[in-house]
Amino acid sequence: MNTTNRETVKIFDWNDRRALVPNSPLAEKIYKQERLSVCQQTDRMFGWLMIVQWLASLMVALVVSPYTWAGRDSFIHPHIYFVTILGSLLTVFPVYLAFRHAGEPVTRFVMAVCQMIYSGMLIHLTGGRIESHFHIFGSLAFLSFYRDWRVLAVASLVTLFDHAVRGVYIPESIYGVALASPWRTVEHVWWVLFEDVFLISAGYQSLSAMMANANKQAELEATRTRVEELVTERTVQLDASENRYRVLCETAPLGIYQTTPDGKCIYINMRFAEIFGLTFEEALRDGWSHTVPADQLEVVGSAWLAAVNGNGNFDMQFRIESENPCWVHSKASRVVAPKDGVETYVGTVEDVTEQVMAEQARAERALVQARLASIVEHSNDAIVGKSLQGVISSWNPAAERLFGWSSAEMIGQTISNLLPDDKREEDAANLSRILSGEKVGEYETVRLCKDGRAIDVALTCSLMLDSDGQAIGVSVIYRDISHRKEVEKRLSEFYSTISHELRSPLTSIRGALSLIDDKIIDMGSDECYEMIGVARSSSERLVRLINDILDIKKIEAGKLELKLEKIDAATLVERAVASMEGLARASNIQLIQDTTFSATVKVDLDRIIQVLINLISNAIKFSSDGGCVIVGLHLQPDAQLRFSVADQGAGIPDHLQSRLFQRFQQVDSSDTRPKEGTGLGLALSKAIVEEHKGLIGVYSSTSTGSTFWFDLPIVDAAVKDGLIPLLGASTILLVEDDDNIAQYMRLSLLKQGYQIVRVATIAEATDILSRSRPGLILLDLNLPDGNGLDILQYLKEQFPHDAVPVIVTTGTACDKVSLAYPVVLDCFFKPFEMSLLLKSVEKVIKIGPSRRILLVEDDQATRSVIAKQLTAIGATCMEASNGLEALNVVESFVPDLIVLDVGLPKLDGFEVISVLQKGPFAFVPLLVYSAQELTESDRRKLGLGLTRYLDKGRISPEEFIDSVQELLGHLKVGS
Amino acid sequence: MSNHSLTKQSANSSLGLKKLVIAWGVLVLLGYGSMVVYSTSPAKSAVTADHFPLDSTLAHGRNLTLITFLHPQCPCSRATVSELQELLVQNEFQSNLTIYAVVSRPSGCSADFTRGAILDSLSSMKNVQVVIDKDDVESQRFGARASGQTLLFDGQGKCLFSGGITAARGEVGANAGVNALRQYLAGTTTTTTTTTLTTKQTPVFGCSLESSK
Repeated sequence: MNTTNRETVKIFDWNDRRALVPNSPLAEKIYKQERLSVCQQTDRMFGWLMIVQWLASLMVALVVSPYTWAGRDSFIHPHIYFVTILGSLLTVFPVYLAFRHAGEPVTRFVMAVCQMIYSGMLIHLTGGRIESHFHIFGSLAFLSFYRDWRVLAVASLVTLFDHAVRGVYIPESIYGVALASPWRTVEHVWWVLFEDVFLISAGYQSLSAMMANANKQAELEATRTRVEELVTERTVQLDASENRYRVLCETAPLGIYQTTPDGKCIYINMRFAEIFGLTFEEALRDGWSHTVPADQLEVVGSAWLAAVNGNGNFDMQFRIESENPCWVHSKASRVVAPKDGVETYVGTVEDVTEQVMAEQARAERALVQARLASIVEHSNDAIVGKSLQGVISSWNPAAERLFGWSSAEMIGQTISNLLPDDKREEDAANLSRILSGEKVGEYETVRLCKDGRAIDVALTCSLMLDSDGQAIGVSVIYRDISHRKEVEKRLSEFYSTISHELRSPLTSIRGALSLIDDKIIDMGSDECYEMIGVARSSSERLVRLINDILDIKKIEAGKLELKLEKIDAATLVERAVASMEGLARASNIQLIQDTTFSATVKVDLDRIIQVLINLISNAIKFSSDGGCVIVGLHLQPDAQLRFSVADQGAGIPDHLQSRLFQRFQQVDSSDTRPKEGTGLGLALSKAIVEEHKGLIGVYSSTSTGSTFWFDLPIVDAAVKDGLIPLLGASTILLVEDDDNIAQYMRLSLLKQGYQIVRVATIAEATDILSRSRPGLILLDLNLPDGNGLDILQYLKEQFPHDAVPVIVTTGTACDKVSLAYPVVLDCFFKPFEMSLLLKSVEKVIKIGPSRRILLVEDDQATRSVIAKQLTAIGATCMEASNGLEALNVVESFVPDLIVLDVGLPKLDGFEVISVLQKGPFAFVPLLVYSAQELTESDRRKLGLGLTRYLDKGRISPEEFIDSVQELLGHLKVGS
Repeated sequence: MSNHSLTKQSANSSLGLKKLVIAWGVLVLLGYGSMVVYSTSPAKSAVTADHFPLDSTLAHGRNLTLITFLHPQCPCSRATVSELQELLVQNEFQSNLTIYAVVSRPSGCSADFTRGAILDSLSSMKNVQVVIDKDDVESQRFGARASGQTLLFDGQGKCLFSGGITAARGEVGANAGVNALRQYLAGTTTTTTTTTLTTKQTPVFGCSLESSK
């Protein structure tokens, strides 16, 4: 049957041979079912149609010709019989088939035959009326519903046969004429075939569409089947997954929950309720929020809200209070339902109490260990761990500092590296003592450093035990007691010294007084006064000694009170120098004051003078006979003023310099030292300077001597802006970065009477040169910020027509020096002979007559006397009788000193100074020589560089000249 | 039930159905044949007079006289009326033609018997004289035995044509009777003996004018 259908389809597949070919057996099945359904429906339709047709025919027959007549007699018309009998034959059987054998081929063939015969009967009964022929066409149309060309073929054959037979023999029954042409039959046949063509074509198209639908439906069916299979498979998987998930949730050690954004639980597992100590219903109803203690509720709530309003992730560890308070760790994430977008949060909660406790314990242990490690790490004592065999296992930084070996060097090495040869048995003995349970603590001994030095240490040994209490090693704590030993040594020396210092004057006092008391010498005699003087001097020495000791103690106790006041630093130097003039003369030491530059500082005057006296005293003490000590002031970076005291002594070895400012220190602490002293002076000086927020130090060389210095902050801002010193024609600008060489050159030049301004860098030099012109530049080439030759280029630009002479001092050979600048007068390669340098300098700067002093005095007689005095010391005196004239004079030159009377016509002294303060004369030394009583306010107004105030009525001519010379920087009188 | 038995049952059912179809087909052919036979079977042949009966109440025309006997209730005779009406459409016939439509009124029948579609049709036809043949006197005189019997007499009373003017029962359309009449009326058949012989008589399809009892 299937084969037949397929062949049938192929016969009529003239357009597309594949149009009626099913794509699959399923498509074929669907196609057949569809065809069967169509045939069945058509069968039933025909069933009803034939019934109606039959009844209608009967009705027409009854109406049109119910009877046939014979005279007055009537009979049932034969047509009624024909319609009834023949009609029933043509109706009942196909109707039976239509409803009992619907869809079977025989049904539709019988239907086709019946319908065509019925048409023939109708045509016949209507006498071949042409209208009745349309019944044939209608019937064919209805038969085409079967979409079966065979049905149409059978029907057409029946009609053709009927037409052919009747057309020949009783044409009037089919064409309504007794004499019909054979072509009439041909015409009718042609019309039937014509309709067949269209109906078969339409049927074929319908079948094609049906097949296409069947193919599509088959594909859909196949797809649906696949989908159903997939759904089934997925459903099975989902069931398995759900089952797995359910089992996991029920057996998981974690609490699992799902909540709404406001925290209401919509799902929990049993573990969840167990963790929170709630029943399942309570947990599901109330959630866990009420189990969070009040102190954590806000934090936990905030975290939850942050998760809800933020990225949807909640991750927090917190404590809960249930029947068994515990720590829990909860994590939750937002889940959005794909259908309705409802947000929920699915999370887990884990009882982490044990972990937290363990973590806390670990943290505490780690803290303890860290503290211990920190103690070991930051201990000032060397802590060394070693095995019982003496192999080092730990070595802390203090050990590195103490012994010089790094831990990398020592770990794995034996402790014997630290042991002097004579201490090896001692170390073994200590180990035995420890192992025997004896304690070894604060055992003082000696150990070796990496550099071979032996240092004093106090060691404490203890056993290291393992968890079983077995000794696994020894920890040794080494305490550096070398300092203590040193202190003890110095204290011993101090006591020796102090006993000497106390006993010596006491001996002198007692001896002197004994001589007088025992009347060995006569009272009132010169010897008596001499002894009294000795006793007084010795008692003053005792007082100073005791004062120093008391001051040290006072400073140590923090009880030193400073009476701070603003004061010109040069004044401090001046007073200190004045106090030490006598000692200097007695020691045949030249005391030089170098205060070319000064500034205001805020200090306790007495204490700073005490420091200066101490430093000057030391300098004098340690200078050789005929030497000189220079006390100077210098500007330092960061607005610091440096006080310096330089000597030409033997210098201090480097290794002793760091200990100089410690108490009870002397360079030579032996009993045979040549100079007296307690060793407290520098310590006291250091304490006083530091109390002033200053800094004290020393630089020293065994070849050039020592310079002690201390820096104090400059407090007068107005002065600070103009701190650059003004250089005169007799001033030498020393550009040298090496402090020792600079000090050496300064001392040498100052002794010759030159004024020196020393700078260490090119920047400082150019800064000064931008404001004034020195008489000579001593230039080092190797400077921190560049080559000194760069200054030469600057000089060319700054002084194009008035070149400043330059003498180069350099440590390296430089052929280009002589070519670099036309006025590079000479070049000295270090080390050079100072005498040669001085000779070279002397060629440039003539000392003495070139010093120019501006004398401003309105009284003619006084001006004349003073001018003679100044000329007598070799100075050149420029006179001015009033203030205006003085200002006119300074327009042409810069004086080395201004001697000023205050009461002047035209412009008085205040007005003159106020003008000069704004110009390039701010640092020119000034001697105010007036008969007026000057107040402190007046003095502050009357100030330029280093300024002195002298009262005409009380100052002797000698004192006046001394002051002038001092201000001129100890002007050397020329020949 | 096994597939084999199902197949067997199906085959038996199919065989029975085929037999049934064949039997049915035979019955249908028989029925259809009977119908054809009936439709093409004429009524009893009339024994008509060769000349116009003298005792007839019908007046003989000067030229041609056409007489059609009709049963008023015969369904088949409607076709005869239609053919007659079609025949008389041509006016040239009517000028020299006397036409009678003799409607049978068998004895014992009332006047209502004659009323009907046939009488109505005849009444509407011009130049047709409708004669109610009470007790079938005229039909017996002319020898007419079936409805539809048509006679044509020439001016001398000679019967030119006797027969029906339909091809079969109740069938309208060209037929030998009408053709013969049209030729007689047009005067084209008078000279040809063969033709006259051929068309002088045709079968009559209609109800019997004679009562059974």
